[in-house]
Amino acid sequence: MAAKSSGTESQSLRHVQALFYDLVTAPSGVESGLIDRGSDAAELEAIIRGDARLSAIERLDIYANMYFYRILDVLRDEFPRVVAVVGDVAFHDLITDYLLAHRPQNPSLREAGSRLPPYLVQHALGLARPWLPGLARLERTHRELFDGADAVPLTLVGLRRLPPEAFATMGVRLCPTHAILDSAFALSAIWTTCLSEPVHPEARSERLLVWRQDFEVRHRVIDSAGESAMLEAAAEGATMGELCDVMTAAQNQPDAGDPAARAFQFLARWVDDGLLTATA
Amino acid sequence: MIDFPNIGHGIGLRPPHFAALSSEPQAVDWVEVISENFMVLGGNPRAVLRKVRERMPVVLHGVSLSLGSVDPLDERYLEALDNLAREIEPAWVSDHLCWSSLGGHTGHDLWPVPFTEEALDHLASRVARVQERLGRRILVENVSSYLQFVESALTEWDFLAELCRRTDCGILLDVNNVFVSAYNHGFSPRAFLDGIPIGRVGQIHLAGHRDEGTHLLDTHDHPVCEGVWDLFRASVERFGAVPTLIERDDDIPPLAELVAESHRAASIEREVCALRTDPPREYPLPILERMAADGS
Repeated sequence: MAAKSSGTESQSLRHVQALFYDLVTAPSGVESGLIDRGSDAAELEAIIRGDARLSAIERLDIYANMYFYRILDVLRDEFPRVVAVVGDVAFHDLITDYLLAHRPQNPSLREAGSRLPPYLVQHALGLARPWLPGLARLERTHRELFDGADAVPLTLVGLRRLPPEAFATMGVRLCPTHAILDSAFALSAIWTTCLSEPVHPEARSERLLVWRQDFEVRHRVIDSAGESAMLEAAAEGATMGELCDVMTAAQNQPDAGDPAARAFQFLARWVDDGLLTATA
Repeated sequence: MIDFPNIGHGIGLRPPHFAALSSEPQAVDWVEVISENFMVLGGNPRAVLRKVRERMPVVLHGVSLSLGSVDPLDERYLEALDNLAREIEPAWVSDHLCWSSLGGHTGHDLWPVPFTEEALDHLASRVARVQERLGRRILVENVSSYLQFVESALTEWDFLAELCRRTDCGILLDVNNVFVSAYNHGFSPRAFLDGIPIGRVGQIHLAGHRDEGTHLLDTHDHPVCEGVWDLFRASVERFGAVPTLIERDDDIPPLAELVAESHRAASIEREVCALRTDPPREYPLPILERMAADGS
């Protein structure tokens, strides 16, 4: 046996794994990683066997490439619009930088991209396109809601069964698979076009509702102050009556119509979209 | 020694085949899922998994347990895995003889361990802890590797056999990984099989790989090659009928192609087992015959 047992671990195994990890995750490959450590091939060859076919550095580089490209591939799938906007080469370099700043911590690969949208805010690609972090956040939100927690949505059939006097006091909440995103740019207009052509979104603030209905994640612009206020209240949980009150308070234009009727329109749409669930 | 049931021949449950496998009768005995892809709160993956589980046995195959890491075991991960297992009631749970995390960071890969007494002690204690936490024996899979450590004093097969002896875990024998590692390191794949104790193999994986010139790369993006089929035949000659899975993760072909590969595995197994003189393990009727008998 080459190494003596020392309980559940020893410095030897720790040293091997630390060196392996440092070099596999080095941004420019194993050889540069060794130089950055002030080391050389000899240190590696004392730990990893090289042969006529492949040196120790080349063998470890196989793992280095797999580490980077596996994560890159997953992030390319998760952020196709960011890829389309910046191009393959710039996205590759972005992920190189991102992985240096945010090494994956979650056992699931689906979490590898969770910090890319905020990271873009201070990255050169985001500084050159201030709307890009918002676009990345919208893509990431779609991903997160895809397999978020299930809930039983309210249906019109269920609501019709309610006695009229019970409607106002019925407690509701938005389904957990929703998000309300605010952006300083009109991202909804470029969501599809950015995949195939250069885009320059208008600098106009926009609030987006993103939600999952059945198994499909969708989004739409919220362009009514009343609906926006109702959504905020419903996200916290409220009764139907309280939501109507919120609408009344938010609608300060006398010619905008009956607030209760408008509130019912929004509630009906939300139910149709599978957005509402009953609270106990 | 083996109490992992013989559930026949399966394929991996992957998104392109979610709809077909969750809604239509298929000539597949069981499916294996990547555990981490279903450790989510809800949505389509969990719904599909529940539907598929109603139709056939499911096996949970993890890639992030990081059994060989010097990091502490990830208790939150173990809890999520335990919760998933309680809900799905898999035929068994498996992961790899490898490490993939360090300092709280994960590499999302299957990194090799040195085959030393020190690593063996370390792995044995962690496999025991995982089995205790999950309340079940697990299967540990040999990985494809591209390097060997100077300090390794054991062969991979001796290491794996001793790990089983110390922890009573089973082995998920990945025949493609044996083939790939044998080529990459110049050992005999038959020697690997001969070193694995009979009665410890609870499952077999078959997959495709890519020839990179200087080495073979375990890619799971090709059909099983003839060399791996030959080695599978040798595996059945040694271990008998063992639940066998066709593993495909990239360039996923139509379901019929995977099913055809699964049936080829079943056919080889029947052929080899018919020649064996020792009593075969209990073996279910081939799936096509069962479906015909059920009228499905």
